[in-house]
Amino acid sequence: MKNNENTRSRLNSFERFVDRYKVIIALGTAAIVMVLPFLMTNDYLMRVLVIILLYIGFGFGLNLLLGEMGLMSLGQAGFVGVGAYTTAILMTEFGWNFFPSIISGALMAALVGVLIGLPTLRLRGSYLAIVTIGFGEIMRTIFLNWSSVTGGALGIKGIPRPMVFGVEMNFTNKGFYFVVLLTVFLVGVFCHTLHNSKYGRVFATIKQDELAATMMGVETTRYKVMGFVCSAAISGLMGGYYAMMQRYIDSNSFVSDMSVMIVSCLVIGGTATLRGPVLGAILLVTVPEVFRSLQAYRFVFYGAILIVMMLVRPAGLLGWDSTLPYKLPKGTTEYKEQLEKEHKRKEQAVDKQ
Amino acid sequence: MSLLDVKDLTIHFGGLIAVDHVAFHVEQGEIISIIGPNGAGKTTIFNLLTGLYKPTEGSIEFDGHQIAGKRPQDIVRLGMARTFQNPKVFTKLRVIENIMVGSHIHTNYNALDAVFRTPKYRREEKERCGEALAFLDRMGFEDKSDMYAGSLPYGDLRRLEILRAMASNAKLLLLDEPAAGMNPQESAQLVEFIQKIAREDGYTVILIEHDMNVVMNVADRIYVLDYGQLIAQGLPAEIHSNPDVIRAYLGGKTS
Repeated sequence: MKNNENTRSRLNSFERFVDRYKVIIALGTAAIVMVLPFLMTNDYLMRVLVIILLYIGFGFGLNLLLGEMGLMSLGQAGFVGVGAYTTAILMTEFGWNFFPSIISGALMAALVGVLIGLPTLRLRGSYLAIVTIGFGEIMRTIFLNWSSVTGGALGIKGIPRPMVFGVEMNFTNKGFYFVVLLTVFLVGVFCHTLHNSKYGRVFATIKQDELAATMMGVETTRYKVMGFVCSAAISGLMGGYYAMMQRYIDSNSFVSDMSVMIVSCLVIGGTATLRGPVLGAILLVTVPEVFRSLQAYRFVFYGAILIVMMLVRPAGLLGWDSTLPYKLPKGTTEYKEQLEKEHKRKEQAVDKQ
Repeated sequence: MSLLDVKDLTIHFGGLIAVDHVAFHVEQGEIISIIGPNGAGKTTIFNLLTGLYKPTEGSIEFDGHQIAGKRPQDIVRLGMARTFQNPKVFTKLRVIENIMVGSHIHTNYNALDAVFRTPKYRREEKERCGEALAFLDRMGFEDKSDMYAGSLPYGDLRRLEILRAMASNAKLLLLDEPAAGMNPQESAQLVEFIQKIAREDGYTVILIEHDMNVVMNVADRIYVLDYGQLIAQGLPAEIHSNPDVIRAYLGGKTS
């Protein structure tokens, strides 16, 4: 018992430390992230770095659903696949540049997000999880059998790497890494700004008590569809990069293993934060690479880790509520003082009457 | 014209008639109490008023609008807000965030405003946050605005739920057993609080309550329900000695 309290207080001080120095930690991370690729001596290591980035992006996407709104999706690979196939087809068949291709991939995934979001809005928890597993399987089957578009079991090969101003972004010149890094960064900024607005608050109310949210006038359906659409679009966007990284995709690229891995990243790293998916992706991508010999048992470990996490720290390693005071928007104090003055004036006017 | 005018309100759940041709009215600035034994249909009436259930029959006129059958979100926008029997405060949000969710319907920027931090976003966040802070100060929550609602003591949690409802700028507050689970001291504070918001701040209040001390102290008028039907109405003193009411609560021979 005493031991438990000790760990708790040590955790608390760790959380406070991270919160207090979060700007420095973020800058430090940024520096590492910029330098790291130049320390990687071969393409294999570059590839591992890019996979980490992709899973961070997938994690950000799922975080909007699972982290912010508490909606469990075990079919994220379906969205990733839609983005990947759309991008791959546009680049190989139509010879589009990578940029319009990935944007189209994201939009296509968003469209699928609407289609899956609308009918499943009444579901939560395990029911939603089951439906999304079904969605993932349906998408995989479509990828496999719609041969005229997806190439069927043969898949799509020869997907080019992105060209930026006529230069091919690949592993050797580290360009691909930085393109993906920039995208993940922008996605992170998007999620961060959304979180720190009425959208973040509304998402949290949907996670905690949808009925109470409805009674505050929140159009819960609209926000849930929006969450689904954003999550799908982010997954689809990253899916496009996945296709360009692999240069070859088929239906086996987007199986439920990928969905489970995305969920694991979030649950282990931490939900309802952005630092969570970052840590989760780093751990879950590098550890299996280091322990290659145990590759076959990977999902046994994931399962075990997930169970332990759910029992010990359900919000994930880095998932805690900020220990800092609430950050007031700029000008709030002045506005409040002005309101108080007006209020006092009104009260005095009433008293005189 | 009454602020709220309910006529013939009826709802059937299968064969059960939960609310049976109930009529009542609430005037601006009044504190009305609805009482009755368990299962009398009190909370069902709240659910009908707030649009959670669609009435089988009857009309609800609120502030000049016919609201029977409207969606909850639209009714909130017309100025009616409620609390719940078991407090449904967002415990993982801070006190101030709870209040800002309360004023959600007055926060009008869209997702693009939020993502690009437009002036509209900045202004509205500043205003809602400033209003919430000033409001919390006035209501004696000034040092609690940063706290997570989950760490508040029970009495504060229930009061916060009322504050959140008030933050939507509602004219009419529906309070579902606000004193449930409170000790005598906390419920005395609650009585004072409800009187203050009605008398000084001009809110109109309907409250469902089992604690007779609270009801008799705070209500201007009382409606009594039993088995979905209105069996009595009147001033607290009249209700106190009404034989039908005593029979409904304590049982006895039907007359």
